[in-house]
Amino acid sequence: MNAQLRNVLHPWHSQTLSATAFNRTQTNIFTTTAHGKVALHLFIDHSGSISFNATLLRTAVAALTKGSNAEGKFEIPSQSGSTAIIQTVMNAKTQGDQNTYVLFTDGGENVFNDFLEIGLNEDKTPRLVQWNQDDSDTIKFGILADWLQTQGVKICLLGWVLTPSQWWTTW
Amino acid sequence: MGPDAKPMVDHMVGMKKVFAAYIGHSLCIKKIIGVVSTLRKISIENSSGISSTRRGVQHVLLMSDNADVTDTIKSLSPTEIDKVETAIGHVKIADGPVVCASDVKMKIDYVLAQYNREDKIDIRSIEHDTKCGILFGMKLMCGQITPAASVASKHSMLFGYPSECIGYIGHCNTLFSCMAKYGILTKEASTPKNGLLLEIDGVMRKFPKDCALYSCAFDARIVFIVANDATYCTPFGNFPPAKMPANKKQKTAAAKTSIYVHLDS
Repeated sequence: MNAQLRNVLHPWHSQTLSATAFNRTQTNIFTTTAHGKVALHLFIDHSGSISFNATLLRTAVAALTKGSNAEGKFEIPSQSGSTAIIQTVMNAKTQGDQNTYVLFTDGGENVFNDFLEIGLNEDKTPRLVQWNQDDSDTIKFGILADWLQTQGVKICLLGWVLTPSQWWTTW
Repeated sequence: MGPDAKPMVDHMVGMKKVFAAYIGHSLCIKKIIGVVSTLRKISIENSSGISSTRRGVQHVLLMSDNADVTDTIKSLSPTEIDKVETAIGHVKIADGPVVCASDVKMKIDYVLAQYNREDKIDIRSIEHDTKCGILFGMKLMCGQITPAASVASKHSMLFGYPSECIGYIGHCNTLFSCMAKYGILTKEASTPKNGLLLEIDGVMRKFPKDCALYSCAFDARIVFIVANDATYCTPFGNFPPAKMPANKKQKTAAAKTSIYVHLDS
C-alpha cells in the first residue's frame, strides 16, 4: 500500500479533508483553511436519484468525516439534477489535484457522452472506450467502474434493494 | 438494488479486492458505520504488509434492503436516536429526511431566519419561548391533524405562555404558516363550520370553525427530544397553564372536570 493511501485509511483525527458536492455541476462545500496538503478529497453526489439514499449517503459521509477537520462544517446541498461523475473527476484531475479521491454516489452517470481512456492496450497505446448514453446500463457502468479504477478513485457506492415485485417492474 | 446502481455494482463485484456489504433492515445506521469501520480496520491492518487492494484502489458498496431507510428510524429507541445523533448529526443534508434532533433544529432555525429576514421581525429576545410553543404544536401535529389554535389562540390554547413573551400568539401563528411554506408542516383544510372535536392526550377538545389545521411527518419522539433541550428552547414545564375565559371557567367548574395536557414521549 502506498504512503498516501495508508495515510488516508488511518484514523481521521489528523486528516485534512476537502469536499465537493456534485450533480451536473460541482460546488465546493468545504475547503480547509489549515496549512499543509489536503489528504483526502470527497466527491459527494447530490443528484436527484440520491434522494432515495439520502440517509445512507449521510451515514457513509459521517463515518468518513468523523474526527476530521471537516466534521460539522459542511452541508450537502438538496438533491436535484443529473449526475456528472466523470466530468467531476476529470475537472479535479485537470486542476492538477493529485489528492486521493473518495466518491460517494449511486452510480447513475447520465451526462457524459464521449471516449474514456481505460488503461493501455497490449502495444502500450492508450485504450479508448466509447461511453455512449444510448448503450445499455450494463455496458456503460462497467466502463465507468473500470475508468474510476484507473483514475485511482475510491468509491462508496450507495444502493438499495427492491422487493421482488418492485424488481420485476423495474427490470 | 436500485436501478441506477445495479449495473455498476454487477461489474464491480466481479473485480478482485472489491468489498461489498449488505446492510440489513434493522439498525442499518449502526451497521453502515460498522461496515465503514471494518473496511478502515482491514486497510490499516494491511498497511504494514501486502496491500489488500487492487492497484491501491479500494471500493465499498453499501446497500440497504428498504427504499427509504428512514423507516428504520421509527423503530429505534430514544437511546438509539441519541446514538444516531452522535453518529451522523454532524453531516447535514439540505431537504434530507429528518432522522435526528439536529435535523429538526436546523429546519426550525431556517424558518426563524427567514421569518426574521423576510418579515423584518426580530424575535431573538423571545425566541426560546416561541420555539417551545411551536415545538409543542409540532409534537401534536406529528400524531394527528391539529389546529394551530391549540398553541396560538387566546381561547383555545392548551397552555399559557410567559407574560413577557410579547406577541407570542401572533408569532406562533405566522411561524406555523411559514413552516408549511417550507415543507416542515402540511397545511390541511380548515376546521368545518361546526367546529372540530379532537382528542388530545386523552382529553376531548373543541375547536371553533375556520381554525388552520396542520400535520407534520416528523417522528414525534425526535420533536420531543428537541422540545426538552433546554439549551435550544424554553422547557415546556416552565410554561404556565392556560388562562381560561370567564364563561369557560364557570362551565368547567360546574362540570368538575380538569384538563390535563401531557407532553410525554
